[in-house]
Amino acid sequence: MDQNSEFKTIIYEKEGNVARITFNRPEKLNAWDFPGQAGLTDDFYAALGIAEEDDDVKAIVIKGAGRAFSAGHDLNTVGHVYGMGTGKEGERRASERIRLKVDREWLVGHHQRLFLCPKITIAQVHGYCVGEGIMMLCCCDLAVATEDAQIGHTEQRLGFAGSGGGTIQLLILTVGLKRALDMLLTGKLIDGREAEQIGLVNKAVPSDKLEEEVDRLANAVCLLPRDGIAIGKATRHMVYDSLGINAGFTHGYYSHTFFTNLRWEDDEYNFFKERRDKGTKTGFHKRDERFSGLV
Amino acid sequence: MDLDRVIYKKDGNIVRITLNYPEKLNVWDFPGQGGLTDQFYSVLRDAEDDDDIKVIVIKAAGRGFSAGHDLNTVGFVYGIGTGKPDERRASERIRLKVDRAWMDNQQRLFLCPKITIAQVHGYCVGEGFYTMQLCDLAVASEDAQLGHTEQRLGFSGSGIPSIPVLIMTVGMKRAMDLLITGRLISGTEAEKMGLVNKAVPMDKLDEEVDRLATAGALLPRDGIAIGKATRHMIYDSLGLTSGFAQGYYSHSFFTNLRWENDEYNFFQQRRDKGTKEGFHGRDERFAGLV
Repeated sequence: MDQNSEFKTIIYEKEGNVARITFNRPEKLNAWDFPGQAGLTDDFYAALGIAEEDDDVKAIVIKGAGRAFSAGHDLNTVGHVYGMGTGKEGERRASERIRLKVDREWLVGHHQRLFLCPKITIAQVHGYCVGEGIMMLCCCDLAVATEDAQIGHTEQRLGFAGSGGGTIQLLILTVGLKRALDMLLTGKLIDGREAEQIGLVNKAVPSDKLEEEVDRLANAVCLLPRDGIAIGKATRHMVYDSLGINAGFTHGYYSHTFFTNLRWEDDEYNFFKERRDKGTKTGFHKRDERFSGLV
Repeated sequence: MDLDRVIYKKDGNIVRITLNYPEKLNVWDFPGQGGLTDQFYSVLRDAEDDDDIKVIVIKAAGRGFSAGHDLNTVGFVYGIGTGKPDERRASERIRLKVDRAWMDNQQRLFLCPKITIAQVHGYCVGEGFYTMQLCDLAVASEDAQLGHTEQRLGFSGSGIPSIPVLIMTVGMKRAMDLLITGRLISGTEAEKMGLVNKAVPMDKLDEEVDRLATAGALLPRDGIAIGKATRHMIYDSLGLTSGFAQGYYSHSFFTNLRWENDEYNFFQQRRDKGTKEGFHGRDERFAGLV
């Protein structure tokens, strides 16, 4: 059966013991939607389910089509899933229960599931890898990037200031406390080389070597036995529990919901107001322009 | 206890414990077998009980720190892989008993109330690698070869107590790389990722460790004991000490692994072709990939 007939926004390929899931929305830099919106999110996690259930699959490579891995969430529609920021007449504040429901499905239902996936997961990163993109990179066991990839938590500049994501603990344990806070509080982008240097990715290679490097790594990990791979992840599940990493997914959805009720003061940059008044593009550029020359 | 596998040498406030089984690259056996393991942990207790000792240096004779466990006899302690005709699967209780005794030892090293320093040269893999990691400080020769090659038996990042410590030492992605690929890194790379405190040329190794041990011994006896007890609590809060139970439990679980036909089964290869071939066959597959 060609499983791709089901998918509009990803490509699922299997070759030997390796499955490749490609985000395939290049015209939007593989921007994400939210659970239940029948786009990239639902497609990706359906494909992940297929790979998890396939006993022949040992390694899952996650990559993006086009110019980038992923530019994060689609800023045109951020908020809409809760019924807010739509610009519709008569719009009320979203209820707390709808916020909690969506955020829990997203961070616990999805990110934690990727993090604990019983196969070995490898992120193959090029171009922009921000917001949802860097969170997925963090959730994969291993990551290889192009030297010129642009990786960062720019979404934190919406105002999260180091909250609202499930991977904060994970980032701290990946790059250390000071570097994690630098990335979270400034939202700065780093290139693949710097990401290698701080241990955020395992290796940075020139663009034209990326595929080859990831293939080699995927082939190496497929030398491990199926049961060993499953025991390995189950063991690390316990380790991650002790280290408090899994609690991060719960903290993440709770703080994301909390954030969506944020009150901006008059002298603070409010992306949602800018988007309403001047459009997404201006709202987005102005968010980042303020930081130029500073970080 | 007769000591033919370790050398215990005290010099002022410093004791040096040398793994002394060079003809076998200082390979380890298991608790209760009367070899390196029992002897090492017996003298470690002597050092713990000696109030004059402030610093324990752990080093090795011959070409390497330690090549890990003796692959000739891995499994025998549970009564499996012996090649005897009437051999049954080992019971869960014997697996759990041996693995717990083994990792209780390692936890003792990790929480040893003296300052511990690993002096690493040559191969430092498997049990050698865990021993190095569980010391407070480590200095390596630049050309040392360190790694979790034992994970290639199929553990794939399980079966050992030091995974949380490794994550805290080098970070998540680097820890996963070392665990999942089992690749060897040099002392120089180990220093770069914070796995050892310093890498020096081989002919400077003794001198560098002596300097560090002498510095450690400047601290007061009670201070050293308070320091370790304080960090014991911190390690508990950080979840590092949970790794010892996770380690023995997952090691016991692993020893019941089912290999599929297309997977490399070291134990079958050892039985059919001997240890050496089984060992080389395990690692050859990775050549050119990692």
